[in-house]
Amino acid sequence: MSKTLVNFIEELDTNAKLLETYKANPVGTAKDYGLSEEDVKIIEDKNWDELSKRFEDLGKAPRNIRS
Amino acid sequence: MNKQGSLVVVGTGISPAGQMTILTQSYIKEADIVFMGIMNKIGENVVQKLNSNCHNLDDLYQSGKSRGITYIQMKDRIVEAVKQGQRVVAAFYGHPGVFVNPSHSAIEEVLALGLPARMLPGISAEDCLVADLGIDPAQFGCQSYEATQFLFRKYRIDPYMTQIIWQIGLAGEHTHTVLNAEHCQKGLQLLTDILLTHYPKQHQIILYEAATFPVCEPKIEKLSLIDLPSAKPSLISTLVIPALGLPDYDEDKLAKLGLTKEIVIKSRKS
Repeated sequence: MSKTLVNFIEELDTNAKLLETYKANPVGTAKDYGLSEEDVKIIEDKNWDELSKRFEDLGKAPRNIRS
Repeated sequence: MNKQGSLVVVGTGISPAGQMTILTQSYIKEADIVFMGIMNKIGENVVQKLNSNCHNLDDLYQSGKSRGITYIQMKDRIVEAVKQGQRVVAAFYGHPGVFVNPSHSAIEEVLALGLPARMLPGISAEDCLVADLGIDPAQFGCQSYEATQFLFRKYRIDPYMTQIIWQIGLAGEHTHTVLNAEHCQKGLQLLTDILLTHYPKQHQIILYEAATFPVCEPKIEKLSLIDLPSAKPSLISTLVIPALGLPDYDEDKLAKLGLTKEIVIKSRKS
């Protein structure tokens, strides 16, 4: 079963060895991990906007309301 | 016997999984119910794996609705669960006490009910900023404030301290209803005009965003102060103005301590 981008990001964030391997070779590490071609392309293109669109909602970032 | 409710407010850090403390993870696991205000689906996924009874607070955000109302409703939802006798954890993005209004208000209300409530620290955007930019807030001292509050009120800048100006993408936004960073140009211009009374036009400033995913690097954009009005910050951008350096010694104050500038310099070297 192919692993998802969610699995990959979560594991990178908790596994120093995988993170260092990724930093040295981002695309190779993403491929070896088993990500789909579409997800590897995100890493290859450094398409962080797509990542943010999929997983974040910055409109909900906390803010000061005492101005 | 009725179970007594309690509240622990925790922070999940800026990245989705790796910045949660061990104690925070343990409280999440042990809770009867977990409320999440995390804004990152992968971070939510991590929390949900620790506890199956997680509830998102995100449904309370609505375009055009004041943040003030949203935050009161979040607080009410959290406190209500405590009143029902549940061991409640409220998990917020970053540090739960920094820029998070319902965390503080929920704790105050639960304590006023005579029930236990506490906050655990989390990794904030400021912690990431110190690490990523190599800035020690103690080196020159630091003034840290929110852009809009600074513009609206009579604050003073000390240019010999590092300035950390939060929520630059909402500079001048007063309604608390805006969910994008497209309306800050007037605020940025005013902020630049104020900063130019303290710093040279070419003073190098930094637009910073912590990395919210481990696959990417933090965004660090260096620019001259004069170019700030044309910058395009996001909702999580922070502006850093490096200090001009250390100010001169205050010889009057030193004298009151029985010291001179020479004594201080000499003792520093020995």
